[in-house]
Amino acid sequence: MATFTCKNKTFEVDSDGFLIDFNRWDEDFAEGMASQIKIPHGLTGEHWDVIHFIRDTFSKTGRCPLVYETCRMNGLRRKELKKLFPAGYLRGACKLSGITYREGYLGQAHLPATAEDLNVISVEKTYRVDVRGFLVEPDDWDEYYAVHRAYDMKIPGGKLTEKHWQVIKFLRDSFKANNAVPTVYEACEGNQIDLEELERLFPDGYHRGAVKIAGLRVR
Amino acid sequence: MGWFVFKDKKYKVDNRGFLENPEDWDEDFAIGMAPKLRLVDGLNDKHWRVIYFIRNTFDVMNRCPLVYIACKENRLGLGDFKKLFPTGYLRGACKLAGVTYRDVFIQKHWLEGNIDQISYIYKNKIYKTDVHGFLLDYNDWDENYAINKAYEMKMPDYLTEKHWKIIYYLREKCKKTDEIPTVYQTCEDNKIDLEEMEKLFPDGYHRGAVKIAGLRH
Repeated sequence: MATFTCKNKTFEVDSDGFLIDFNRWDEDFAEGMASQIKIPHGLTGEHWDVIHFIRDTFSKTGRCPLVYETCRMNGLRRKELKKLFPAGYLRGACKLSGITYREGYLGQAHLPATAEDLNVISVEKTYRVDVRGFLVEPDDWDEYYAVHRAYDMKIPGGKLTEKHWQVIKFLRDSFKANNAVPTVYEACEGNQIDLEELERLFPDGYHRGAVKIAGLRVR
Repeated sequence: MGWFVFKDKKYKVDNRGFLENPEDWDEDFAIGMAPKLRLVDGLNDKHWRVIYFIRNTFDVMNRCPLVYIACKENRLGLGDFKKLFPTGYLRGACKLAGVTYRDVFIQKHWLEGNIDQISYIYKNKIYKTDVHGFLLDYNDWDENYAINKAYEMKMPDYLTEKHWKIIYYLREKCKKTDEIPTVYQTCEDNKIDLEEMEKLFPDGYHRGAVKIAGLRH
């Protein structure tokens, strides 16, 4: 693991200089890092507004705000943001804030993740998928994968709930026991839900939603 | 890959007996396949209504209907459906109809003519991704991957000419400089403002455009 040192403090960072653990962030980190990313004259009030906006949004919503939101909410045009953070949004503003989209998935139920865990998974774990995003190897699956697929699919509410997990677990257990993906009938019966409920949970479909998130596929 | 033979006709099927090409389908295929799907008494009107509903939806929408829609539109409860197609929706009704979710993106929009039947070409290709769904290897990317990703992410206008322009721009730039351009540079070089970028890629610059272009930070 690389480190970044400023003001006699040492921060763990990844190979691109991004802070590993957003909990370890402090203003000294931002100040020290600023000169490394084309902000030679230190951080102004405008910089801090953006940095705090990113951190506040993350602590409220559990996700890193999009560049669009950050500009809108801070009344900044693209050119102004560029002047403030010439290295980019992710590689400038977010880097200084110690928050990127990588952290945007923490705080989910069923994810016993620390920032370190997440970093290791982000960097090291590989998932083999087919062109439709279905896992090729069911053993590649983990809860992180499920959370991210749900996120990409824009599952209602943005998060997998207990009920989602119940169905996902049923699918995986059933697959393990029978070496076959249960039919939509079995899935509904096994979880004592009707089709309407399944649709509410997985509006993308049974296969295209639930089965996909569970890391399984039929064909 | 294999063949399913019925009434002296040969149908190309995959190793699970799914029809390879929806265009090869005819009623005989469904009739011949039915006994293999626990429909020993053949297909009745109710079966045919569902089968044609799936095929017609596919023809019109270029998309295999979801099981929810198939049930609702045919006024069937899940219990009725199970009686009709005991092996499942995908593995029963869709299989007989010769259309599944795999067959969705054939000849889509602008790709029509540019890439011939891409769904088939890349059928068995494997893409390696990280947990966030970003491709690990730039070279694994292809247009079919981009289309499917956009679909999964529910992009509002799908991928239009404008999206492709950005996607190809990102890929070329990255190839040349070995670096992902910043959002500023991408906007400037493509002469669009941030609002336009948001309309095109509402999931974000990295989480949307860069991801669909098969690049990762």
